[in-house]
Amino acid sequence: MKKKEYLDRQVDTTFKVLEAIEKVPVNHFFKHKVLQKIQAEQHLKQPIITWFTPQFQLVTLVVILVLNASVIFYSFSNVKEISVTNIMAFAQEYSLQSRDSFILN
Amino acid sequence: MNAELLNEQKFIDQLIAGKQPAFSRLLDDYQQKVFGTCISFIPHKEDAEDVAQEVFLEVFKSVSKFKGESKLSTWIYKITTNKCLEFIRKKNAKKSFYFMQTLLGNEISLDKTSYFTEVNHPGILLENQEKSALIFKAIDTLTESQRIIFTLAKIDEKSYQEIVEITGKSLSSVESVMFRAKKALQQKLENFYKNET
Repeated sequence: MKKKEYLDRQVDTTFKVLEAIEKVPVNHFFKHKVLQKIQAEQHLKQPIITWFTPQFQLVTLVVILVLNASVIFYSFSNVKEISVTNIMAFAQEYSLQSRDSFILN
Repeated sequence: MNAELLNEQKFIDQLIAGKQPAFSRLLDDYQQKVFGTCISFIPHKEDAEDVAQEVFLEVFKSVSKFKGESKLSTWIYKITTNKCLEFIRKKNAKKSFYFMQTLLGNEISLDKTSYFTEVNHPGILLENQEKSALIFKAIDTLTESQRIIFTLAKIDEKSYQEIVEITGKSLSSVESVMFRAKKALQQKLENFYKNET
């Protein structure tokens, strides 16, 4: 019984310790330190090119892709013509042109 | 919208715009309160101050995301609570890592004590140091929600209404968690004193 009372008393006094905690004033330089850090962050946050917004970046990307695609398409469509004219010139140069009637026909 | 809310909205707009005087005012209004909450969770002056600084930097970074669903103060206290818990989790994880390393036989100088036995709280009287360390260590064993509610209510002296707003729980839920937290702490302290005698 005495032991129970002792335990209860100890537990109570331990809980009461929390009530006795005094208010701790914040460091005098706290505000100054935080403002300095915020200023440093602000400098980091400032984007180099402000006008180059994400929407504008997306539009630029789309334009570049379309240009690339059209250049590739154009160049491949020309390759056929070029190769055909090249082959004709080559055949003419070496008299390899096909005749209207083949000897075995 | 009443004048107070309108003023708060104006103030928030200034914060979003990154106006220095607004942050200066925010610090004047909240530095003591935020630090008070931090030192309630983290009984180390320097660590609590570092966490409080992190809180204000987080406020600065994410004020543009603040939707005004709660009061500015409630939002700041939520950030404070989260930052404190994050800090405690990291500290406890470090201890667990060191413990695992010694189990694996790696030679690491091990501080076997819990972070909460190294109380460095200027607000705790010298004669209460031992008991404070004991109760802070006991609080460290509570579940996260019990720890939050008990600390805010008993150490930071927040009202139940404030705790309801910060945690987003109902009043009855807060009361029930508080009851369980007290019970768990009582049990732990009783066990400690039983073993001591």
